[in-house]
Amino acid sequence: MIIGLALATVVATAVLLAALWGRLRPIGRSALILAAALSVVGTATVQVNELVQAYPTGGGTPAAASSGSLLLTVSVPGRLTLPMYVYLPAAYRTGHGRFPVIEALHGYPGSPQTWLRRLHVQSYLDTEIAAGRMAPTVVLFPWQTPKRLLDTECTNLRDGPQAETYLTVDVPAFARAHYRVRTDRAGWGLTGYSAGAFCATNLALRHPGEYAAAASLAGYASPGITIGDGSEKTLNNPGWRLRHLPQPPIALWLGWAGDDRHSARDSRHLAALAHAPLTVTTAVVAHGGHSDAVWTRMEPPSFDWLSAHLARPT
Amino acid sequence: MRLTGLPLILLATATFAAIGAVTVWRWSRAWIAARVAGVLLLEASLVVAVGLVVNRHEQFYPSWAALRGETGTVAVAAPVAAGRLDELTATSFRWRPAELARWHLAAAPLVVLPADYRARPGVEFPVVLSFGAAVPRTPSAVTVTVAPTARTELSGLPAALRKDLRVTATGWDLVGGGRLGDAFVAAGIGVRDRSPADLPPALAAPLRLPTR
Repeated sequence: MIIGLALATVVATAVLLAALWGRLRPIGRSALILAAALSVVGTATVQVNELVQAYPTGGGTPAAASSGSLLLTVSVPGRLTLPMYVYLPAAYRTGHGRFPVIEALHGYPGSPQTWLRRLHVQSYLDTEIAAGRMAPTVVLFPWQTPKRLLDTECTNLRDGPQAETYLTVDVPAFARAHYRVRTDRAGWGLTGYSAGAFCATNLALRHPGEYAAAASLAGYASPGITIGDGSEKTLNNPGWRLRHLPQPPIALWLGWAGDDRHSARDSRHLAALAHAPLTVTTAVVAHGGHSDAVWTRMEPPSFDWLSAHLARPT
Repeated sequence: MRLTGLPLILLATATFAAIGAVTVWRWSRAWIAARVAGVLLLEASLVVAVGLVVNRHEQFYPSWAALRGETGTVAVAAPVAAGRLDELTATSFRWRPAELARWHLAAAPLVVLPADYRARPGVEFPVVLSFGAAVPRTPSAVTVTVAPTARTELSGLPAALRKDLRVTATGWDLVGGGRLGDAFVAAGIGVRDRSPADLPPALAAPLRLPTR
């Protein structure tokens, strides 16, 4: 829809440029060239946004699937007050017990909508649960930043958003207060793709008392941003943590594509550093780069693995 | 020509320059439709060139195959193999595998199967391994009670149990057992003394990707 409008603008400016050129003075010509250039940049931006969903538009959010699962939109108050999507498995509506929970983190640039629209997560979760490869699980899709183009890497930025506290305290507190979910660490896991994969690894290593397992879909060993206190080199750097701190009793799933050089190198590095009581399972997609295709390929295996490493529904 | 190679970027840049030159050169003599085509082609070739440079730098799509969404990999679920004792009808029995003598136990381990073991033939169950008092029958978990002696050495027990019954390789609950239990924890097979409600679920064979 928007991309169609953008393309129409590109064509329109081209037509105006061609038709009116001879009748315009230099100022008019310049204005038209500028308009044409803007229309091209705008169209490219719309298309990139369609890929990463940093500013999700239109379409709404799928709610109930034919499988019986639900996708809710809620607002989570706390250090940051941000919207969040909540996946409730079909069994949630009929059951009475408490369910394990996975927090699913998005990449940068990106949004929870990337999981829903580009990675089709509701359908993958429905399939894995229906096949019995995954236990019914509540999955949370929080925002990680109040500003779309501010890359927090899920850390508490000095003099900036306290994303880490929001994700590890406020979001869990909200889920425990509003949904029938397990309240113990054994029932809580993390996952994420790209920057969200870094987030999942880093938050699990930093909060082993809150999370038992984390899956990293094409993640990194360091945040690649400046946090403000230098901790991107130390306490917010999983590579540094694994080398210099006692390793916590958590389970990590590290997946990468063979031709995604940065993520492959970092993930192999983390896997090589890990030792008991930390356990690491690796998963390699032959090729596909740093793209949706790779992450969707990793979704079912990583969810199956996570479910097997979390406590069961009660 | 590689998607991220310099030759392709040079070609795209040259194409952009050529289209630009022709469009400017022919502009005053061209029909409007040709002018429109020239502008659109110029814009498209610029977007392609910039896209190629960004992609070379960021390596989002390192190859044409990656751009087409091909990953060359499929996740597969190795089917859960039936245990050699799955045909037994007893839900509680003394387990006497070939390895039993090597373990130096006071008695053959007592195995208790959960109520849903027979009804879910494609599923692997986590294990509650007790090194002393028999543990009660546990929903969706296989309980194994062993009576250790001073000489007991249980290496190979998980593998032997997985041949005979549909049990998971990890996620076990280890009840008591001192150093014997520690060895299981250190091997990543399970954790100590947790409530049966905290066991992982009994699941069908997971989809897996290659590990390297």
